[in-house]
Amino acid sequence: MDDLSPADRAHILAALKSAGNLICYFGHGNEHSWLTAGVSTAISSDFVPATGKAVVSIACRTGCNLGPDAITAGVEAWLGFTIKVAVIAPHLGLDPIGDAIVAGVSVLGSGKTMQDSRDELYSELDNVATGYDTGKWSSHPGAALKYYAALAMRDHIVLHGTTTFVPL
Amino acid sequence: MLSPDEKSQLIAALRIWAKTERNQPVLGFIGGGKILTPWEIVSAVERESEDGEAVLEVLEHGVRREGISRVVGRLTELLTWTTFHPPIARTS
Repeated sequence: MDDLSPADRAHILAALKSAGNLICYFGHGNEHSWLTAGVSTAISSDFVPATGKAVVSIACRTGCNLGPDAITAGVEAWLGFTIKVAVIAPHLGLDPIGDAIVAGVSVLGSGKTMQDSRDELYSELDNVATGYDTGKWSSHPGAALKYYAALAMRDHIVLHGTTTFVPL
Repeated sequence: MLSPDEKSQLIAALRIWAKTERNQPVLGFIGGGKILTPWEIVSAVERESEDGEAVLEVLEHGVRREGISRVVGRLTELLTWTTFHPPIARTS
């Protein structure tokens, strides 16, 4: 596993060309590109070297156009969101939304499919919404708003391309 | 897209919500640069900043799923009251 930080254009292009079958991106984005400090760092045509690979894009709205366009460019599967990705302030050391994302992506390490990862992410965010609604986190600061954030994220997960692809 | 009436109801509800919350960071969005406190969230929504629009987008999803009354009720903590104590119809 390579950790190519920060997510600048040079590191992103290196990752897209790398030998690995799974690229996980955590950073800024919009409908059409990945971004750093408001400047585009990758657009769909940059994904040609990532042909046959899977991309997990934990970035705002990149599931709208960038994902489908990357599939057209050759990427095998793309997991992301069509909404802004919420970040919550940890309370008592707990960051349920962050943990849900990690849990969803982690199943890929067990040889699971991209669909399995998408389903796990959905299930985890569903648990987070329930937790903030009537469950164990309902007394956390801002629980009502965090509930709606988790709900919106849960319902705006998208998986494009080959859903049965096993990247690891 | 929220109607102007829905938007004003949500802003009013957020102001009530912010009064009941502690003044500490609660929620932000990737790209927004910081996690906002309740009153910063109210301000962002009123200023229609990028974070404010993202908050409204999240709440709009709730409105479409649950209805405006339920979202407002949940934010203002009136949901339990209205659920278990529905208004009594008066005939005189």
